[in-house]
Amino acid sequence: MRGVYAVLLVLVAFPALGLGVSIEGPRNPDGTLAMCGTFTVTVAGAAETTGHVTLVLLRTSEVLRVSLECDGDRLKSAPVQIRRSCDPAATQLSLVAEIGDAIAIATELGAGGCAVERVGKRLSGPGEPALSLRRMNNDTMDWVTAESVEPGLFSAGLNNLALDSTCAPETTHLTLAVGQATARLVLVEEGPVAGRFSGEIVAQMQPDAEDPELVLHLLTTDKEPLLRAVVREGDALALTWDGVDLRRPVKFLPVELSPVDLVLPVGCMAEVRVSVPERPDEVIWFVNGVRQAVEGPSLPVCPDAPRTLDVVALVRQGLLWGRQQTTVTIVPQVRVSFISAETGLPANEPWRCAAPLQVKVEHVQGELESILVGKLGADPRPCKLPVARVGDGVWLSIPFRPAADLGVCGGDVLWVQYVDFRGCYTAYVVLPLR
Amino acid sequence: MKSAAVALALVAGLGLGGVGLEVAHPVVFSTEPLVVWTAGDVPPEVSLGGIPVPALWERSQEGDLTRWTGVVSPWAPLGVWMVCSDRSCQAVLRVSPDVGLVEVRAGPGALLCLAGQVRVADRAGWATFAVAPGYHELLSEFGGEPVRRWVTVHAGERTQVTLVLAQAGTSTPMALPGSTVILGVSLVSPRELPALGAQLRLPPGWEAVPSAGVFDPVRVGELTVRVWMVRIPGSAALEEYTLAVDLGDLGVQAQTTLTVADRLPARVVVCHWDVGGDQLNLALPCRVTYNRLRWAATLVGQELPFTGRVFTQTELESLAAEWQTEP
Repeated sequence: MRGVYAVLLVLVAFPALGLGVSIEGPRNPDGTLAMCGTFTVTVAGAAETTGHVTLVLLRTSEVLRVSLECDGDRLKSAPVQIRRSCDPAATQLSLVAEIGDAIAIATELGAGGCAVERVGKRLSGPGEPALSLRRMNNDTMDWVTAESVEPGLFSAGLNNLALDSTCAPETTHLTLAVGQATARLVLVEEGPVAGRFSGEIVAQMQPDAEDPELVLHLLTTDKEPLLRAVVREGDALALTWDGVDLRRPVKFLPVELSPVDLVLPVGCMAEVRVSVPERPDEVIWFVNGVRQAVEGPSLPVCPDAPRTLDVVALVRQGLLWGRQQTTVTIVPQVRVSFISAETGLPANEPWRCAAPLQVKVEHVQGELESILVGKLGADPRPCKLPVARVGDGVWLSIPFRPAADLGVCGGDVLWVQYVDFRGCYTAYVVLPLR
Repeated sequence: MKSAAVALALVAGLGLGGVGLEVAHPVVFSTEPLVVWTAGDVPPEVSLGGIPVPALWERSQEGDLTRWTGVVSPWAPLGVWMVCSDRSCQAVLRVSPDVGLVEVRAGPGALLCLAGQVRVADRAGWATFAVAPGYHELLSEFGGEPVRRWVTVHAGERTQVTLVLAQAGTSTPMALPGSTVILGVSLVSPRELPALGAQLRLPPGWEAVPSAGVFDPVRVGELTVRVWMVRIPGSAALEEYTLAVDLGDLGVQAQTTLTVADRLPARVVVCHWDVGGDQLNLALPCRVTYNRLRWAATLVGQELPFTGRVFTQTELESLAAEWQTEP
C-alpha cells in the first residue's frame, strides 16, 4: 500500500516533468484502452537504460510493477494484458480490470513521470459486427447457413466482441423485418466471453384465413408471436443490428398454373390446373378473392357471364407453400346472324331467295377466315364464306344470293354456324326462305 | 357477286347430291337418338363443323334400307350437324330439350307462323318449329282465308300438327292395259270446305268415274278419303304414269304413280284375285286372304294368270307368311 501512495505522490508531485510515459496498444475510438488488449508501457526522455513502471488499478489499488528495457531511444515494457477475471491470461503480465476502471502508470526514472488511462470496452473482432442466420437441418440436426427463410427453426446470430463487457453473458437485440412488419429479437451471448450472440426463431408459413395470400409467422421457441407478414415472391427477412443488416429471401414453393391467362367464352367449361408441382399436397383456390370449395389440383371454371376472374392458387408441398395467380377472361360467345347485303339490317324471315345476304359474325376473338353456311335437311350444300374484319371482333362475309349461289329456294331453311374450336358450343341461326 | 361465286366454289366436300340417306327428322332434340336410313350397310358418319363425332349405331333392316339408330353424347353442342353416308348428307339441327318441336304438315310453300317464328313449308309440305313450351297459336292461310290452330307445346316433346294432308294412291302399283284401278286421295283440310274442289290430271285417254260422295263437304281437321275408278285404255303404252289430283281449295296437288305392264308380279295377281268371280280385279283392295291363298295353291307348278310364268312353292310360302302376319 505504501507503494501505491508513493505512485500517487509521484502523480501529484511530478505531473509536469519532462518524461514521456505512455501506453501503446489497442484503443477504442474514445481513446480508452481496449479490454482484453495487450499493451506495452514506454518511457521516453529518460537517461537510464533500465527501470520500472508501476501500474496501479485505482479502483482496487492493485499494483503491477513492470520492468523496462531499452528500446532504441526509449524504454519499453514487456506486454501487459488488461483482462477481466474470466478472461484467460494471454501474457505473463496482466492486470485484472473492469470496463471503466482507471489505471495509473508511474515511474521514478529521471525526474519521474506518470500517466492515467481508462479501460474501455473490448474491440470488435475482424469483420465484426457480423450478422448470421442459420437453419436447423432436420435431417442432420445441425445448424447450417440459411440462404433463405422457409418453415423451420432458425438461429439469428451476431458476432461482436465489443458487446462482451462483463464476465456474465450479455444480451442484445436485433430487429427482424419483413416488409413493413418488424419485431425485436433478444440475442443472448453464447458464453461469458464469447462475444457471439444468438436467438432462435421459428418460421411458419400459412395461408391467410380470408385473403388469397401467404403469411409468414415468426415465433419464439416458446411459440410467442414475433412477427406476422403477408409475403409474396421477392420478399425477404431483414436482420438489422445497429446499421448492419442481413437479408434472406423468403423461400416459396415454385408453382405454375396451366393454362396461363385463359380466355374462355361463356358456356365453355375449362379448368385451371396446377402443373408445377406435379403432385401438390394441398391446394387452396381463390377466385376474385373468394375461397373456393375445390381443394384438388384442378379448378373447374364454368363461365356464366362475360367478366374477368382472378384465380389464385396457394399450393403446399411438404412444409413449403407457393402462390401463383392467373387470369381467366370470360368473353361472350360468338354470335352469328344473317343481314341484308343491301341494307345491313337483320334479315327478316322468311327471306326472299333471290335477295342478297351477308353473314355477320360478332364477338370473335382472334382471326376468322370463313363461316359455314348451308341448307337444313337433305343436300345441305355447306359452303365456306370468306369473311373480313369490319370492327372490333366483328366480321362480315361476302354477299351471296341463296338461290343463285347456293341453289336453295322457297321452303328451304338456310343456316349459318360457327363451331367453337374447343367444341364446347356452336353459334348458329337458321333463316327460312321463301 | 362475282367474288361470292368464287368463294362459293370453295364448297366443303360435304353434301354431295344423290340419294342414299334419309333422316327421320331434320330437327332433333339433343337427348334423342338420330334415326337414319341408308341404302348400304356402312354406318353413317356424324360431324360438327367438319369434325367427326363418334356415335354408337344400332342397325336393323327395313325392306331395302338399313335403319340406323345412333346415339351421340347429349352434352355435345347444339347446332347443325352433318349426317353422311358414303353417297349423301343431311344437315340436322340439334336443339335443346328445353324447347318443344312442332312439326306442321301443310301444303308445299305454305306460310306458317308459330310463336313469332315464320316458316315456309318445304316441298313435301313440312315445316318444323322449335319453340318455348306453352300454348301457341299457329297461323296460316289457305285459299285466301286465315287458318288458326292452337298448339300445346311441351319441353322435349315433338308435336305434329296436320293442317293439310293430300296423299294420293292407287289400289295397285302395277296394272294391265285396259284394266280398272282405284285412285284414292286421303286429305285433311285446315278449314271447312262446303264441297271438295278436286280435278284429276290423268294421262290422255284415261277415264275416271268419281265414287259417290267424292265432292261432298270436307270437315276441318278430319281425315277424309275420296276415290275414283280409273279406266286404263287398252292402248296404253307400257310405262310409268303420274296420276294427280288438284285440290285447289287447299292449294295442294296429290300425286301418285302407276306402272302399266303386260305382266304382273305374282303377289299383285293373288292379292287382287276375285275368287268368287274367278277373275283379276285390280280395283279391289290388295290383300292376301285365306281364300286367295287356296286359289293360288292350286296353281303351284303351273303358269299363274297374267304373270307369264310358273308359280312356285316358294312364292306361295312367301304369300302365306304375309297372310300370317296380317292382322
